[in-house]
Amino acid sequence: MSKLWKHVLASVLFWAIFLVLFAYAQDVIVPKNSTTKTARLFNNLITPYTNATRTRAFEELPRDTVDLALVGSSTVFCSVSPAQLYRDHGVAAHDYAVGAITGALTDYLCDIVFETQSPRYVLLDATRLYADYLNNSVNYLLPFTRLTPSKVRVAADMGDLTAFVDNLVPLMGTHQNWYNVTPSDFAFTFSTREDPLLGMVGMVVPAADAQALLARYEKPAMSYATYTPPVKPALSELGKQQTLAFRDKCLAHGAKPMLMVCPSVFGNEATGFLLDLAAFAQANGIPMVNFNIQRQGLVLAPEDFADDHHLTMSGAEKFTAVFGDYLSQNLDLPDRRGDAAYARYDSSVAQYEAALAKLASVQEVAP
Amino acid sequence: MLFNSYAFLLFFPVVCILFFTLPQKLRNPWLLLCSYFFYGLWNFAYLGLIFFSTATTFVCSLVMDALQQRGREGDRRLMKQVIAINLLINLGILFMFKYYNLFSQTMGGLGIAVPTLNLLLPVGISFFTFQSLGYTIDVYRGDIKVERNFMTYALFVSFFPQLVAGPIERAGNLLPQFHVEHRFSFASMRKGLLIMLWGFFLKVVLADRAAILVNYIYNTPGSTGFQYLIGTLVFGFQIYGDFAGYSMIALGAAQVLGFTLMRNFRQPYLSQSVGEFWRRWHISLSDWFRDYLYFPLGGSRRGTARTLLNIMVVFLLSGLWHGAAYTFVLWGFLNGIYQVVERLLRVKVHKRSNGWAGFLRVAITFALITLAWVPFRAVSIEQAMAIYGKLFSADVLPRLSDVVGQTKAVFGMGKYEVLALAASMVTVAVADILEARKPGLIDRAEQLPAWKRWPIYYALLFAVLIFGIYGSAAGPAAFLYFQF
Repeated sequence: MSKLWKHVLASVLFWAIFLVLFAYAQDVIVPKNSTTKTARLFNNLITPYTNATRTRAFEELPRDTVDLALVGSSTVFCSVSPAQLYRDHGVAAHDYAVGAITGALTDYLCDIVFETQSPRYVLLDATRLYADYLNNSVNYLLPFTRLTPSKVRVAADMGDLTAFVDNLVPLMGTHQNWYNVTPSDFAFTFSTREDPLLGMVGMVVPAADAQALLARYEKPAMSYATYTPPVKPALSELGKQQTLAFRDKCLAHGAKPMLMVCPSVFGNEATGFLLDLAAFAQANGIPMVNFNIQRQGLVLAPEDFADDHHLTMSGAEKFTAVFGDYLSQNLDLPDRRGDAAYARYDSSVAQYEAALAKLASVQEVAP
Repeated sequence: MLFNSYAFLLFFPVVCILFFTLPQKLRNPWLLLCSYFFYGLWNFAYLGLIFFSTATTFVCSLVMDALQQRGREGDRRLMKQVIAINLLINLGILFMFKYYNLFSQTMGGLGIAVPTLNLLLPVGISFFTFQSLGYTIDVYRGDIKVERNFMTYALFVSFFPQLVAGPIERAGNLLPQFHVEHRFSFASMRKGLLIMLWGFFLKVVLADRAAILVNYIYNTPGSTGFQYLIGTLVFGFQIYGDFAGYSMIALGAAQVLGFTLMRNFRQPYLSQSVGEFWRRWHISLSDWFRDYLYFPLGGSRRGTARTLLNIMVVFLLSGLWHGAAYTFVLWGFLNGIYQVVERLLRVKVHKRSNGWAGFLRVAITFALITLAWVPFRAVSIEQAMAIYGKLFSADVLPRLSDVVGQTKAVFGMGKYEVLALAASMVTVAVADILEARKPGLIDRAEQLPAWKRWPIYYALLFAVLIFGIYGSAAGPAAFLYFQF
C-alpha cells in the first residue's frame, strides 16, 4: 500500500471516529429536558428542537393520518399540543412547524405535508411569518435534505451563516449548555425523543420576567382597535404572494387554508402587519383567527409565558384547550378516537401526560 | 473575516484545495484574490487603503532600487527623499485613521480646537503598514532585492494568514517563499492543522472565556481589589491566548499551504526579566522596533544615558502602536521603565537562572508584566489609577464572601465556568513549561504513534467544540489585536 493511501485511510478512520464521538457528545450536550437549569433554551420535552429530527419525523408519519396540519413557526409548536387536541376532541393534528419560519419555507413545509398526507385543513401560523428579521431563516437543513423547486427560494433566504451552522449541527448552537449537563445525560438515549406528534416545547421562565410578559400581553402598547395603519403597508408584496401561494397550494390538494395567530406580546409593527394580513386574507377568501383579539376563555398566568412569542408548556396546555374548543365549534374535523389507524396518537397522549407530570414536578422544586 | 468564524471554516479548505490544484503560475494570483476577499469581507471599501499602501511602497522601492543601480552622485540623497516621502505617506495614513482623533482630543485639552474625524479604524492597519514599511527600509538599506512583480509584492503585504494581526513578516523571510513551488505535503498539512487547533484552543477556550470574567470585573463599578487582582491576572492570560492564538492559527494556516511564518511568541510568561519577556512576546513587533527604530537611534552603543533614552522612546512608541489612547502610552512607559531599571541594576537579561532563583525571577517578572496590563485593559488613566489604588491596599485581600459560593457575583460566571477557565489556564501553562524545557512540543506530538496522537487531537477538538465560545451563543469575538 502506498504512503498516500495509508494517509487517506488513516484520515478516513480518524474522521469516522470523530463523527461517532461527535454524535455522542451532541446527544449529551444538546438540551433535552425542561429544567430550571436549562431555562429558556428551546429544549423540547420530548421532541427535540433540532430541525433535522423534525424533518425525519415528518417523513415517518403514517400516510393520510392527519386531518389538521399546523404549519408555521416556533410560536405554534409552543402554543398547541396535538396530543391534547386528540385526547380532548379526537382531532388528528400534526405540527409541521419549525422555528423562525419564512414564507418560502412555509411553502416547502406544505409540500412535505401534501406528500404523505391529505389534511382537511392546513392552519398557517402567521404570528411572526412576515417579520423582516426572520428573513434570515434558520431552517436550512430542510432544503438540503431534498431537491425540490422550493429549495431555490429557501436558499435565497439564507443570510446568516452562523444560524445555518447552528441549526445544521445542533451542538454548535447549544454547546454552551455543557455546564448544565448532569450524569444522566451521558446515558445513550438515541431516538428516544423523536415522537412527532407532540410538537411542543417546555420552558421555564423566571417569575419576574413572566409577570412582566403577562402584563404586556394583557395591556399591549397599542391595541388592534386603536392602531393607525402606517402609510407604507406592513405586509409586503412578497408576503401577499406567499399568502396566495399558500392558499392555492392548499386548495389544489383539497385542503382548506386558514391563518391563525397564537398568543403573543406584540409591538406596533407586528400589530400592523397582522391587521394588514387579516384584511388581505379576508379579501382573498382565507379565514383568519387571531387569538390575541379573540381571547374568550383564555386566562394565562405569569408562568405560562416563556418569552414574547412563546408559551411554556403550562401556557400551551391552557391555550390548546381553548383552541380545541374553537376547532370543534368552527371546523369540520372528525373524532378519530378509537380508530385503530390512529393508535399512534394514544401512545402520544400517554407520553404527553407523563411529560406534563414531569414538568409539574420540576416546577415544584424550582426556586 | 475572523479566524474563529464559520465563514473561515468554509473559506480555508476552499483556498487550500484550489491552491494545490491550480498550476504554479496561478497560485499567487489565487492567494492574492483570497487575501483581498478575506480582508474585504470586513470592509470592501478599505481594500483601497491596502492597495494604495501597497502601490506606494512598491513604486518607492522600485525608484530607490533604480537610483541605487544607477549610483550617480546625489542619488543617495534622492533615495533619502524617496524613502522620506514613502514614510510620510504611509505613516500619514496611519496617523489619520488611527491617531488623528487622539491628537484632536489632546489639542482640545490644551485649549486648541481641532475638528475630529469620524473614520472607522481599518482592521490591522498597523500591521500591514509596518510590514510594507519594513520592506522599503530593507530595500533602502540594500538588505534585500527589490520585488519587481507587483502581484507578488501585493501578496506579501496582504497574505491573509498574517494580514490583520501579524506576525509582521520580514520581506527576507516571506517574499522568497512566493517564488518557489509549494507541493502538497500531508505531514505539513497535519502539522499546520495541529498548530491551528492549538491556536483555536488559545482563542476560543482560554481567551474568550477569560474575557467574560475580565469584562465583568473591569466593567463593574465598585469591583474590589481582590476582584481586580484576579481580573488583571486573568487578563494576562486572555491577551496571551488571544494574540498568541491568532498567531498560531496564522502560522498553522500558512504551514498547511506550505509557507513558514516567523514565531511570534515563545513562552513569554516564563521570562526571567522584562527584557527577556520582550524577546518572547510579539517577537515580530519587538524585532521591527529593534531593527528600524532602536538601532537607528543608536541602540546601546552611545552610552548609558542614550541607551536608556532609546529604550524609553521605543516603548512609548510601542505603547502608542497598540492603541491611540494614553492608557497604552502608560503601558509602554511602564515596560520601558522596567527595562531601564533592569539596565541600571545590571540584571542579566540574556542569562537564565535555574532552581529557586529562576522561579523567583519568573514570578517577579510575571508580577511586573501583570501589573503593567492594568492600563492596557483599563478604559482610562483614571480607572487604571483607581485600580492600582485598590491593588495596593487591604482591599486586595479576599473576603470570605469572595471565595465561598459567590462565583457569579465575584467573577461574573458560574463555578463550572470558572473551573473550565482555570483548567484552560493550567493547560496553557503546562504546555508552555513543557515547550520551554524541550522545544518542539508539536513536532514531538507529531512523531507519536497514532494511538497516542489521536487522543490528543480529539481532546483538543472537543475542548474547542464544547468549551469554546463561538457561534450564535456568543457571536465571534474579534481578536483583541485587530484594533492595533
